[in-house]
Amino acid sequence: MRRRLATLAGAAAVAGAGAAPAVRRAMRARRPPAEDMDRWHAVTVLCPPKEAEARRDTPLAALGDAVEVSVRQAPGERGSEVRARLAPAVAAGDDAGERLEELRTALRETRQVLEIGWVVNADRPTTNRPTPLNAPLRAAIAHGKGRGRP
Amino acid sequence: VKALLWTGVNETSVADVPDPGIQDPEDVIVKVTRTVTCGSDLHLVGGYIPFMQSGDILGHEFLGEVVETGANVNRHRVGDRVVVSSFISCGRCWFCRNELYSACDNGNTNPAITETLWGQAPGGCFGYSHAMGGYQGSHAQYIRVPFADVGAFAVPDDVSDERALFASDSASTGWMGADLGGVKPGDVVAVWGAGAVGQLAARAAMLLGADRVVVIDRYGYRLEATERHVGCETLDYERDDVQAELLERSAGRGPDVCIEAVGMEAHSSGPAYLYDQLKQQLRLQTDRPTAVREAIYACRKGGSVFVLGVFAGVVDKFPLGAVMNKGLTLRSAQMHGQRYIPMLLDRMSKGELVTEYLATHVMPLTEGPQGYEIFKNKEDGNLRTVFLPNG
Repeated sequence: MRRRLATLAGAAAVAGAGAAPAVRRAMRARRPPAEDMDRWHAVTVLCPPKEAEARRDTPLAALGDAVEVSVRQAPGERGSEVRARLAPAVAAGDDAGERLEELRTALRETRQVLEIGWVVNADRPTTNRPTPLNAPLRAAIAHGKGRGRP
Repeated sequence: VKALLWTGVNETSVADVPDPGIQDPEDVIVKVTRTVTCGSDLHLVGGYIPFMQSGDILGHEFLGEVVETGANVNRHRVGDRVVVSSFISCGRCWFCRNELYSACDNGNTNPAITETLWGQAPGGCFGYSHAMGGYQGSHAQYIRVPFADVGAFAVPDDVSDERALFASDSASTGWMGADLGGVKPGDVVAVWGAGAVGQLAARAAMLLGADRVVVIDRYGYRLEATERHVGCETLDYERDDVQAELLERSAGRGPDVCIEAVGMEAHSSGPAYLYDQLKQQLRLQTDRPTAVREAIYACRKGGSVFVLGVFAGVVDKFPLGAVMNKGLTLRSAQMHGQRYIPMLLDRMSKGELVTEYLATHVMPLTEGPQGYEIFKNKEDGNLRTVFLPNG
């Protein structure tokens, strides 16, 4: 993970045309480092832990036994800390990278369901069009919720 | 609907695009009556923020009429005249509840991009690239406004469209710089940049009780507009010794609050500009921080520097030693419009905040590309170009 972040920090340093290849390389699907598979990924949600635990219609709940989930009170009246990690059998699978992206996406969307009530999306239909130049950006957008740092 | 699209680096065009529709229960659809260029758009147009796709709609500062409401919209009805915050914020997350609306946890639909670049993702913004959520911009006849109960505000009857338009972003941003910069009665305040945001930051500082406000720029017509409409002092950095003037005007202390309202494409008259320009063109730094450096150098010991200008990545020769040894407070933010717009509309109603003079060029949206050229090149005394998408 640190290596990928360092790569993208480099991407920031060369924003403009020079950023595109770096972003493309960094966002390319690949198996994350082993420590990411074991790590608890988390979001802080502004709702009581009881409410976070009780909801059964969240994207995180939909992942079922594929993930382990932990909810606890956040400090400083920040609500709940919702943590999740891949179940060991899933983390050992060949598609663990994709499953980890699903987990991260589910964490973000669960926060939206708990705080707002629905999953937020950009405008549809879009008005843009694919070009060779924006292919790296489109690839990054495809992973816009599954990558990053949750 | 017709819209002004970014189609490539320094290329824009007007085209027909699909109508926006209600997607979420707190959406409204707004018929855009006025939408205005912003200096930060130029970073997108020029490719300095490389997260645009060909066909994306530009524009984030606008006003219009509600023509459709989602099922859960409570504060707005069809026919309401509203001004909309440029940042899209949910109103429910911890950041929104603490009035840090542009840091909203739920507004950005592509958070991984900015999390990876900056460590955390800010909220979403209309027409400000896929790094800020990929929302369609306001340079269109109609626009979808998410979380309308949070981000859209009814305009009082006695405030004109021409004036209220600037509450959407530039007045909010300017006010935030003075407010979060900590301007207090009796302060000396210096503002770098005499664009709309800089002028309105200066006006905010005056309304917050500053004793002396000085705005710095190099365009005579912008400085004249500042003196005439804001009523504060100005310095021309190509003619005046800014550091010496600020020391003299603050009796050797330096300004208490320094507000940078320039951003990543700053200019200067010295060799530092050539250095920054070269490094930026070689992609060795993303942003030119000239005005930030000057603000830090000028600021009094223990004073406050607020960065309002938009920056995207990394800069070189940042004077961290001055920040540390002078005990400065350095703050910044994208604009928390929802925090300020109601108060700004009230001040506009009372005549304390006059903004319509900023609309030096008003034209149909079909002339959008020309409007941006005039704005970018600062031709014909342009402060801002306002488009009328629906005539």
